[in-house]
Amino acid sequence: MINGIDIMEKCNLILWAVALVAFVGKGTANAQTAEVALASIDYELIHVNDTNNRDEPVKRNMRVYLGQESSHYVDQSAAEAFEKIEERMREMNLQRSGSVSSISIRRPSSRSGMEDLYLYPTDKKLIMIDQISTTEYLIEQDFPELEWIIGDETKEIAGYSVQQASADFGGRHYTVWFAPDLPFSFGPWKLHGLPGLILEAADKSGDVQFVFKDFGRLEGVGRQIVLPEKGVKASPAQFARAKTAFDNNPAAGRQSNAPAGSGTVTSQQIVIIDNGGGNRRTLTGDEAREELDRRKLQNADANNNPLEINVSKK
Amino acid sequence: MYRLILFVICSALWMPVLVANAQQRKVEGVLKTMDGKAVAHASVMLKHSSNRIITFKTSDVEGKFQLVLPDTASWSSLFIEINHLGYSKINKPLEEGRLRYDILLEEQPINLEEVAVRSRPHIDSYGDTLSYDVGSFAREEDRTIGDVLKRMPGMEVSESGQIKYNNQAISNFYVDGDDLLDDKYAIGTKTIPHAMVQKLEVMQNHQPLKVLRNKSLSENVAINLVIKDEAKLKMTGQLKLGAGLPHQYDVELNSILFNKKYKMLNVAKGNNIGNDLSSDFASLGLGSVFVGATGQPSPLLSAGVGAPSLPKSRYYLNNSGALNANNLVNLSSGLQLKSNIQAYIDRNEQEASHRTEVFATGDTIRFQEYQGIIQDPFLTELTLNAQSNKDTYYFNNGLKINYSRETGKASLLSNTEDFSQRLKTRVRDFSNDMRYVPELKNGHIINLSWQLSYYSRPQTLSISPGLNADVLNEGREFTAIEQYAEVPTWSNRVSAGYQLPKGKIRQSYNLTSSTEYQQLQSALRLVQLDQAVTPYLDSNDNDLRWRKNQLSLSGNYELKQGRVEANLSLPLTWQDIRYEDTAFDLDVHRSRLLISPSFRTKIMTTAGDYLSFNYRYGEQTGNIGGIYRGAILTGYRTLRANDAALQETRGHSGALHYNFQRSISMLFMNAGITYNKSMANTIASSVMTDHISQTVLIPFENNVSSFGASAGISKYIFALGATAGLKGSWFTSRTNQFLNGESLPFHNITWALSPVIETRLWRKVSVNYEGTGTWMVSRSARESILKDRQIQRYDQSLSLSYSPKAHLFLRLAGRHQYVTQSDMENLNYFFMDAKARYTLKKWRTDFDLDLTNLANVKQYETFSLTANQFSHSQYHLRGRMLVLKATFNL
Repeated sequence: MINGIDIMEKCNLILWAVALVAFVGKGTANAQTAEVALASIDYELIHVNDTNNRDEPVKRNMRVYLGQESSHYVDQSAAEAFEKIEERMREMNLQRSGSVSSISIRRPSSRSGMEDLYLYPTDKKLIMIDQISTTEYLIEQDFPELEWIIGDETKEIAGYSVQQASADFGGRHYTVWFAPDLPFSFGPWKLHGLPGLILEAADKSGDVQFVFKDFGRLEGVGRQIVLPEKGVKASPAQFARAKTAFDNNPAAGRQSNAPAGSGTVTSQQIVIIDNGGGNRRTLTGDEAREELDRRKLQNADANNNPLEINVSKK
Repeated sequence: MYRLILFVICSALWMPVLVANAQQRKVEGVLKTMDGKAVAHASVMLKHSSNRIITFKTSDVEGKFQLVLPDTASWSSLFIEINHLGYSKINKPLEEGRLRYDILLEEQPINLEEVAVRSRPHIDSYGDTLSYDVGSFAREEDRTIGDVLKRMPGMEVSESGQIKYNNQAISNFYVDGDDLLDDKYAIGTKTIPHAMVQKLEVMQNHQPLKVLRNKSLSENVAINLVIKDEAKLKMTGQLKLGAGLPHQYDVELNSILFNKKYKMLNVAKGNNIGNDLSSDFASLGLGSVFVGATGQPSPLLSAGVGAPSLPKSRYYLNNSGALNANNLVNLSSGLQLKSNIQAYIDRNEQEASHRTEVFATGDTIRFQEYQGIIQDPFLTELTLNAQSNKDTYYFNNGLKINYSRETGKASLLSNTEDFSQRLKTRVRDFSNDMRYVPELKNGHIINLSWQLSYYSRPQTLSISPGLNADVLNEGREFTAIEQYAEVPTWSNRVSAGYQLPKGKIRQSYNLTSSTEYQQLQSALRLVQLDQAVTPYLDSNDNDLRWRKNQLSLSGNYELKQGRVEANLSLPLTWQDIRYEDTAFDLDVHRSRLLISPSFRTKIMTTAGDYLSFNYRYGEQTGNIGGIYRGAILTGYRTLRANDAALQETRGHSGALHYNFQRSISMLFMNAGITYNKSMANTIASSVMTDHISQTVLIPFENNVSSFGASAGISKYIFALGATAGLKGSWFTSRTNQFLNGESLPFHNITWALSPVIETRLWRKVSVNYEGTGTWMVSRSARESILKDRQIQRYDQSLSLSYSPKAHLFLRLAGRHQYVTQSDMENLNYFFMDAKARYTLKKWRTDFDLDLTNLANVKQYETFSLTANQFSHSQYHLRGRMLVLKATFNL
């Protein structure tokens, strides 16, 4: 999530690991065809990711772009915040060339529930996008098959009539509300497959909730649901291995990924997006380093309650 | 994984067998297109006639599907529905006993237009910016962005149209990043359709100059309307035609275009239904570039028109027309050109009677008057602005030219004298404001500005027949009074600043030189019975020349560290004033040094919450309005002159404020206390009789102080879908009045509490309640002479809106006012209005039927209490009214 903290540490081993993943990936190959996003839906994800700290769940605005045959689930808080920063940086770089160098990375985390996911029910494929430094990887995941049981209850959410359904997934029992008037068989995260768009979902424990925010049509906007062109294919295991190596020594990885000519970095910026749903703070220098260390420590034990409890990693 | 899939497939194959065994009923079929292609992955729903889904299956690769029927349901109540994107929707009732349903789907282009776009109210936050999702707060009955703004938690729109966020008035009102309307944004909130607006952004700590961003602290709050992409494409507009009884009309034509390069908002309006069009021209923001060097002198003469505490539309008997043209173009060079043109013409009538009691020691002065006023204001204003706002420099030049005139005619009955009065006012003013703020190579910033302005407002007050002969004409009867007065003012101000925005403490220094020339001229003439015009004998005319030069050097220091921001400003001003009036042997030359330091600090307690503290000490000198020696009849009942040196005032003011915001839970709170104390060396002394008051400004150590506390909370309550708020305030002030040779200290206390709630009941009825309770007490230090005066006032409004079906909307609104006051009869008013709207989608037209003042309340009484004065007024109101309007969307 941050580039350019000028710690110069050598660790060739890690570089090797990163290079290996890149090699195994065999370049880009997107079997899934691009299609136009017809609509989008925004949810607020409320996730008690740390059972010791139930009062401060993670809250994020997540968006799903909806196509006829595919959907794309993305962390909207992060995407918007980073778009703004990028815009600002473009402006700044235009005005005073070279004095500020900072590269923002789109996906600050692939925390459970906030992954960047492309779903292709026709092909029964689920592809997760993740990043190591500035390289994007396409990681194919198990396609989520949900056995929905349609319930009798109906109600209204923001003016849409919705009906209840429930299913078990990832070690949790979800109750969802879907809108038959919205003819998309998609929903938040990996939940999908109902005859209508899922507007709200919550698991039995209440630790995971997706709350409806907006539904909007995207006709004429021209947004596509398409896998990143330069994404590198990788298996979950390969990616996890490289990621661990990188996380243990980010500096080495970064140096290998930093663009040419960024040696004369005079100021760095780090952008912190907090759990409160996209409150953004821009920190510089030492402040940033402290914050990063603090977060690393925090994250290590904070994520004791992931969305998928019984994930079997292959 | 594959095993699992295999298992699922196998199970599916065996299903029919199992189902058959269990005696379950099932239906099956194939989905095909007209030309025989299988439709795969389509959801096939089995629905109950209540539209509830019983079960569903997704068609397989060959388009096959199979649905298991529940045992209980009867076939006749079930139907198959397929709503698959790219195909027409299918509804097929089940036929008793029929088990196979092969369905043909007709391909059609995807059209989501019938899919409703809805959202749940929410606010997002990014750093200092809060972003309200406009669509999610809008209701069926809303038309403009102003309608929706009122529903947003944390926001407040006053009757004047001023917008406040968490009790702070906004500084700028941007449309897609451009300040199209300057500080006259009321026309924007009244005209811009909310459907054009995607998001409403509230930008806190807003710095409008890009070159100063992150280099200079700002406490301003600005609003930005983010326009939807599709709304940027073409020009839109509305034509509104309305007519009603009795003899009413209301018309409006507007055109709107908001794209990146060109923005316009042009509105022409006319009505006689009590809609005050001049309110569109009111300056509401703080961000105006036209601050002027010294400000405009206040008018010397007044017609004495009062206003009841009701919305103006209740009593405003008008016939007005207005033109408001706002155009902006962004050139590719980054230069922005803008013109704002306003014109307004009106003729309005007001009928009122007043009874005023002024309490003096051992005596109460009473006077009564009846007024019938006709006013003909005419106003034009042209503003031209060129601006370049870049990261490396800021340049702005604004030119404003204004011409207005007004004639107010009144027939009055004062105590027992019957007379007529005419006040003619003409205003001409222009100002030019230039500012250039470049950033130097070393990162320092230069700030240059120049302002030049001219203002003139000649006024003539004519009264006939001659009143107060004993005071004005040595007791001889006379025909008429003519009072003329004007204060043409030139002012010029040049300022240069240097700012060092780096380092722990950011410093800036400013050198400002300003000059002000004024000439106060007045003449009081009496027309004698033989038509001879004679001057008022007790006093000469004024011909007072005034020149004020100021040179000030100020240092400004800012600190921002972690959660703390602080700002210290130290201005030092050398002031040189000279004024002379030969007729009074007046020639005064005064020089002195003024210091007005201020300090402000802000502590962020969390990311969104802060505590701020302000302190200011100021030294000021009075103006030309406080030193003229010749008597001026400022109203038919007030003769005013001065007998004192230039007023000098010193004052302390301090404020503590707490701001709390949670965008996720949509909770906003604020609380604050303010204290002001000022010491002046003069006081206005009045000698009053039942007919006339004579006021002079005399030397007197005059201390005035006030203390106020206020708090507010606004919250969106998710469970009710309601926005609710509560505001409370307490204000106390101590002032002095000098009346009939005696100083009277007064102590006024005001309490106010205002709850607001906006909610929806049974999904269909919107309820809006607003209330204000005010308690006022006025106490004299000499209780033996003057009793405590108390007024309590409760003003509540409730409206119910109901939409029985789409495109039809009804509203009923009531407003109740209750006033109680010791020794007086209680006042009780109830106003009721009704409204219906029908939208004819095919014609893109709304039809509105407005019924106002159903109870036909035509008289309105009000009390007011200020220090030692009590007034009771009675106003004539507009009666019952019916207007039918059609609004065409062009």
